[in-house]
Amino acid sequence: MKVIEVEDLRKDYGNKVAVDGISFDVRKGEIFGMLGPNGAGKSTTIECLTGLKPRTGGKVKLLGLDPERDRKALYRRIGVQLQETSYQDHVKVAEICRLFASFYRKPLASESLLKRFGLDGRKNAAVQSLSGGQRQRLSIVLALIANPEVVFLDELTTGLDPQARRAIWACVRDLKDEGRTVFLTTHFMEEAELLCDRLCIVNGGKVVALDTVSSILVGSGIDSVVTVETPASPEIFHGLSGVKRADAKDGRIVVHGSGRRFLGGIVQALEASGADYGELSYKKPNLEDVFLSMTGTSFVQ
Amino acid sequence: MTQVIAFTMLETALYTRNPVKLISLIGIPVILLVLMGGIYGNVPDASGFGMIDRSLTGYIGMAVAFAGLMSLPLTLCQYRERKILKRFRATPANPASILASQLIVNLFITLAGVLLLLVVGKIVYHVRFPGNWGFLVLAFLLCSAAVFALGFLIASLVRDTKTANAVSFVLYFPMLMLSGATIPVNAMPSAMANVSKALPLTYGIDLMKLAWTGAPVAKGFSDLVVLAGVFLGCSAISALTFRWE
Repeated sequence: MKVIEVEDLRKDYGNKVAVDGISFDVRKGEIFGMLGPNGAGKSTTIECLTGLKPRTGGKVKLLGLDPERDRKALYRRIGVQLQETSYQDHVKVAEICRLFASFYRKPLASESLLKRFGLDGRKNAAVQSLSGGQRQRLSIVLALIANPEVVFLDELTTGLDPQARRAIWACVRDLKDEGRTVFLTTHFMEEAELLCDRLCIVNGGKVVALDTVSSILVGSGIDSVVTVETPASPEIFHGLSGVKRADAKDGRIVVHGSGRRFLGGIVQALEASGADYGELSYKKPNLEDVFLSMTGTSFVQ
Repeated sequence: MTQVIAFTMLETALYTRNPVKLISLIGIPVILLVLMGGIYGNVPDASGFGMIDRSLTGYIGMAVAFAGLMSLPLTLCQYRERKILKRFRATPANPASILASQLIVNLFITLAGVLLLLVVGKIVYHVRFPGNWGFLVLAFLLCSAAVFALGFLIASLVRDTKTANAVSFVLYFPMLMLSGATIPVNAMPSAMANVSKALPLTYGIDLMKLAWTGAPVAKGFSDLVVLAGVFLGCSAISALTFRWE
């Protein structure tokens, strides 16, 4: 079942084209990511999807409704976490939760949400005094108070240290376990690879790839590379499943190829040959490689 | 409606956590009173009124102007700049509720300052009030409505907080000097008096003066019309042009 349907979305700001004909669908219960460098049109897309900005062209359907026409009805069913949000000066965590809860007919209990996201001990603290990671967790809490069917997360882990980032990823996976649909934007490859069921890579306002992460990686045609220190001849790898080529250089063999049995086959062949071998390094294609091969530009993080 | 109440209660609680802002807003009229009272006293002259009797409505006007032109637009612009308003837009809350709550909180605080002013004026300077309470309350509310609407207009038309601050300053100080709060309008040279006629606060203070001195409501009719006009005009333009981001 499609929860979000986007067809040829366009958004201009005067002369500047931020979103230039983006189309995709999001299915119920999945974590769908939009990955792209800064300026690719991610935040603009989220704002058009959630009715915060009017679109210049194209169709958007969210839970079957139009985000611009049916905003009030939609806001009862979705939760939004925006980039760079702040809250009133001196406001306390519990107070802002209470305020948000007052907007909904059947809000989730903020007490248990705060507990779940580890903010229980800070509920009487001023929001200003929270750390970056705590503040991001609070913004998820506020997005969840609505008990939303769809959660929108815009660059949720930007500016967080790796530990905080991992904590947030666990929270996002929990959302999926609860049956919610998650639409997130990010410019972190690792985040997209680890979290997203399906991914849309964007650049310059256009879609560059749209599929599951593994399909994008496999379908990109970029090879995995195994490098092994060994005096053996590269011929021992010829004809193995998935191997495209193997070259010897400076006491090492570099093997290019792909497929499930690629690495295993190489190790087996090495063993079978009886040759001595040292360190093995294995580089799988990642989204950065995909982005580079598709757009010709590197992904500046 | 419950949203407006929820916002107002929160915004009021937040105000109390900023004691400097709160005290200055409530205290300004009283400080002025004590200053002027110290200089001029309140001994009645031939008209039966003392300096303070005649100036009290001016101080009320100043309090209204401060809240409506400095405090209100500044807060709204800050909320916009910090994307607080944007966040609330992504909820079922009617964002107008936040605007309404700011209006109410500023009105409450102005009222608190005015009440303090009246109490101190009565106790320390024995102010004479031969007027009609109902008329005075009406005049105060209309004056506030017009000035606050002007404040909203500033917040609507001006994009960033720094510029809004500058615009507020440019409007606030002439209003302070030329609206009859400090110098009576009929004592001004004609050029100044003309500027005075262009300021909404002039009509608010004039209306309150009439109420204070016990004049009949009918005498304030032209003031009433101007204030209502300013309120409606500014509100309408604000409603059309207010930017949430």
